[in-house]
Amino acid sequence: MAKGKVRNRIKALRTGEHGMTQSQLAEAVGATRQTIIAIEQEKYAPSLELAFRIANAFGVPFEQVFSFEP
Amino acid sequence: MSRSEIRALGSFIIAGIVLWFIQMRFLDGWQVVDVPAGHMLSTYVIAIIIMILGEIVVTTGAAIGETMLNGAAAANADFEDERDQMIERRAELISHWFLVAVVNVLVLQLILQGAFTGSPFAPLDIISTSGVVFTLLALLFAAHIVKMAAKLVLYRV
Repeated sequence: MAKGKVRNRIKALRTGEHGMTQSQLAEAVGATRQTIIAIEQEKYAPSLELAFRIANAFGVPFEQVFSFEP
Repeated sequence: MSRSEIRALGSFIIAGIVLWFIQMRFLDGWQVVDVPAGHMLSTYVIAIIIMILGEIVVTTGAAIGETMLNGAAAANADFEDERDQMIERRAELISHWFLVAVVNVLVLQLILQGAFTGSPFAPLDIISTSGVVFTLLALLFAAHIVKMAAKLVLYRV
């Protein structure tokens, strides 16, 4: 089975209405800044728990942040 | 560079120094020199001390280095998260397969050494006590180097 890709809008949400830095988001979700960078660049797909934490940090539903490209 | 990356780089360099020290104490060219037990024990103890002191210096240095590179906020950031743990697991797996591969090569080497004494296919004498001690110590630190190298690569891809 071909491997899909997890897409996200973290950078747009973070820099847009929320005006957060990567460090601030990292601190809010309990991750390192390097992990946030890797997720934003779609080099790393976060666990379900971390993905929900990120969505909660933005105060939006999960599906507004993440999508799956089969 | 995160604190984990700085630690991995530091640990990689220290293990490299220790491996170089071990080969200096045991090898003459590609031949393992027969050395007395006291020499082997001192090499072992010094190697362990260098590694422990080195790790302490690297851990402390990494915390200071990350704060200097990434600002004061880095000091409060979570030290290790799920990605760090995933990279640690993958690096351990790579190191494990390296050990498996090297042990298989050593087994073949010993068989060749037993079958064809002095053969060019079995150039390294690892049957003597010095040979066994050198091989085990070198393997121990080489596996650590492979693990740290794997971590450094995995953090970048």
